[in-house]
Amino acid sequence: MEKLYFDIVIIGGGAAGLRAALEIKKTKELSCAVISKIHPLRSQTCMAQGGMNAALNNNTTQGEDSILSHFEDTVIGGDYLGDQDTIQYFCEEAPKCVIELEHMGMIFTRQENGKIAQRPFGGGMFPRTCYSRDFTGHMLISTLYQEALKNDVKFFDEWYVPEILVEEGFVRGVLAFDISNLQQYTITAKAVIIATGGASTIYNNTVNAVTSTGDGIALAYHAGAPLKDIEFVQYHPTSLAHKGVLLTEGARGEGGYLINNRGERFMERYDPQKMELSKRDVICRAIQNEIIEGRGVDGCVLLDLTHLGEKKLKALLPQVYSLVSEFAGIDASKELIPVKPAAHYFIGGIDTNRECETNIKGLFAAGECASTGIHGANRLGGNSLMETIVFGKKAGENAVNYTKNNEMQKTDFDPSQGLFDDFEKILTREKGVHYSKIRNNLRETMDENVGIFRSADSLSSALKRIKELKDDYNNVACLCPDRNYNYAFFETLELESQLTVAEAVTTAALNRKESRGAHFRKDFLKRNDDNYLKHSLIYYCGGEDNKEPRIDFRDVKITRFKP
Amino acid sequence: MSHKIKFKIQRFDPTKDKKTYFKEYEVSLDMWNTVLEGLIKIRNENDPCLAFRMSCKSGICGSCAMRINGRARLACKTKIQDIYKNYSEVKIEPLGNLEVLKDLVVDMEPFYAEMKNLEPWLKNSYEKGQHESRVSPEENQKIEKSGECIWCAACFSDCPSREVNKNYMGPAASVQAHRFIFDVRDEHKKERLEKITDKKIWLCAHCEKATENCPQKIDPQSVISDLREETIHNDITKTIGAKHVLAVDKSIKLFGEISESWLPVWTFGPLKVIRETKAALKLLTHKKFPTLKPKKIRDFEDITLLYHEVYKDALEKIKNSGRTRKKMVDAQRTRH
Repeated sequence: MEKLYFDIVIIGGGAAGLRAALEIKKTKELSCAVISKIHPLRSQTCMAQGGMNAALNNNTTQGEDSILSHFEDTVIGGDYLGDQDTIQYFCEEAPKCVIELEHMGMIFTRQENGKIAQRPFGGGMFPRTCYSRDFTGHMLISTLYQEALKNDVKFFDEWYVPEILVEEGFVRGVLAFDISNLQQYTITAKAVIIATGGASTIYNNTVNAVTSTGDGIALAYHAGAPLKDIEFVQYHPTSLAHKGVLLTEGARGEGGYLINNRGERFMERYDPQKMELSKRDVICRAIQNEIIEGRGVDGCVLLDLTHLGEKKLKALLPQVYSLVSEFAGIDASKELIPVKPAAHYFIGGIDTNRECETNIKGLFAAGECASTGIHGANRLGGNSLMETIVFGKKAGENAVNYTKNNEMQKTDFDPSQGLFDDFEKILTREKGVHYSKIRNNLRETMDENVGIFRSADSLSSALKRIKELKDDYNNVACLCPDRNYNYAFFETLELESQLTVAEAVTTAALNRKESRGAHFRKDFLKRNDDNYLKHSLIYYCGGEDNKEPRIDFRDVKITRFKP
Repeated sequence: MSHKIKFKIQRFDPTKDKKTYFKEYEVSLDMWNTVLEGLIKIRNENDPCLAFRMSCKSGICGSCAMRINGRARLACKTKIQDIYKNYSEVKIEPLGNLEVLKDLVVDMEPFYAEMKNLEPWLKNSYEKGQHESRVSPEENQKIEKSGECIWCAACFSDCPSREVNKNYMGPAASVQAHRFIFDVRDEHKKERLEKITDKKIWLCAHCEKATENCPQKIDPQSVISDLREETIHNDITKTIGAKHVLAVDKSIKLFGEISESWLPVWTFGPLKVIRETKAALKLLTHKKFPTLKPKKIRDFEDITLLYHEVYKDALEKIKNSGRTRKKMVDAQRTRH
């Protein structure tokens, strides 16, 4: 066991974590480290394609955009479950955050006049999504990582954090493993920022990275921070069927159509005004409905990009064009693409306020793992990449203020006792339940029961199964005792996070007896503002007695737009 | 339909093994499954200690770069049917030019070091203000492609010049340099060009492996050509490579053809050439010594006209020649 100290530790090297680090680096006298289980450039951020929303008002082809309009679209898009004061702040900050990125050197697609181009995206009344063809996420993480190199940010790549240390409501630091040799570290810190992304891999049907396992969400949850609105999981309408590969909303933004087996643009029946650029939850349900009612094609619907022409496709959607060709052998300029919804984004997450603070002093969270309350019940496309920057910056700022204004408490807390023993057990267990079996089971259960359409029956049955799988986990084996680059072992640790998050999602879903945004109950079809214009909060109560999690609710902050 | 696919994977655990060895597996997969899906299956069902990196499974994060049947590429984008067109087994080795840490996991530090060494961040000092810097779509297009590099090291892995000379930064670093050298917002072009000259931009052997391997289809070959030309336009001509280019230019202008006797003198300088006396004598005895007094060729005026045309469209031609080469390489790639 080795000991290290940093003033601020950031867990996660994606857009939010890197932006936080850059903010912290502006203060020269504080020490900071970014711990990531993969190299930062490999983070989930790089997979984002479509763009980031900001009311820059560069594209005035459809009239004048405004912060107020972005604010309103986000509130309505979130089905009125968003905290409006935070949303307003987010929309106000977005334009300057984009400009800051451009000044750092980020490559954006440009208009004729040299300004950053903006395109229409789902749920927006104006074209305000700034983009870099369909490589926006890649360009974003490249720029942030390069800027981090310039500023000498300290990185611990391929280190895994299995525990956050909390004592009497204050954060104390983290435990960490070096994946290359399983060396154990206790890292003391005054402040910790969690920026570990989402947990869409609790579903089999997902477009996300295998590393998106909700580790940070589970860490905060186990440490005592509640999870907010965790039942809201966004499905992306267009994943390349059977491949689990994301095809950006930008494809529809550039004019793509969704077609059923009758050749109809079926969105006309569900949202004639916005059609294919409706809100994601509306489109996902529409697609599922078409499929369930027999108007699908092999369990999918079809994305039609043929009318865009090869030239426009290759210029504006090069990644989509190439993905569809390489993974399914389809020429998007000539053929229709089979697509279906897949789990994509965690709308809910670690409960934070506008300052990225959790209920644990010194513990902050930003990015997909956090829930500041801006997305409400459904996230608008383009708001997530923007969120990582606005709130990554905020978390960094506030972590600095907290660190400067708080003394490190003297403590006899020695976490090394016993905490690593469980891990040794998993490592050395020769006979048990293989982790991939538990994982496959979990993912199938979630797909079937906690997907786009939910009911009390499906959710209860899922919860029962999850508990059985948690029991199995007590006897889990990775069957590899190596101490160097033992990925089987780390996937087993990740599985614990996945089980934790899955249980939280399912429990919260069971307790929200209405349909709103991405959460749809077949047994409670209507939105119920009287009882549920509130955020759900779920608290971990496990411990020795393995108590059930506690559910609570908190009123949504309405400032301007009444539902 | 499932097939029994043969995998032959290089293994190595420095804590246990003295040297690398191959292990064979058989996995049930469809032809449309990817090599990465095969590896995952092997680790889940067969061999839990098999070590390899992965994350996005959709060809954009760069984690799973490895040598598959002799060519470095992303395992998540390589379909079984791509391999089975020409081979009867999937042979997997870790990336080349980098130390093996375990099985298919290599030490990426030397690769990252080459990238960092080029200072891959925007360097300028003009007043930024509240708005974005203006960049025209044409200016942007110049760097969009080189900006697509995902630092996967598939090019670096198979680069023979890097293999023989660790002072050569490799193709990815060249691409990274291009992205900043041609970014109109960067103000350190000359410095960067000096840097890549020091890091041996002229050592690229035109083997085309980087272009063939690149999962983003960036064509490092063309990028390197662009960069070399840019060094000459910016008067960085101290290298043998640059001198050679200028010597060819001079020779054609003077004689209408390449003079094998004068080219070495203008490229290497007279002193170095004198050291090659032994080789020169050998040529003499075989009556193959090139004339020291080349005459202008017969259609010299035509050549001069042609050359001026070429010069006029030189930049266009160089870009197009890169694309033509790329078309040929693409055609070859799809054949596999």
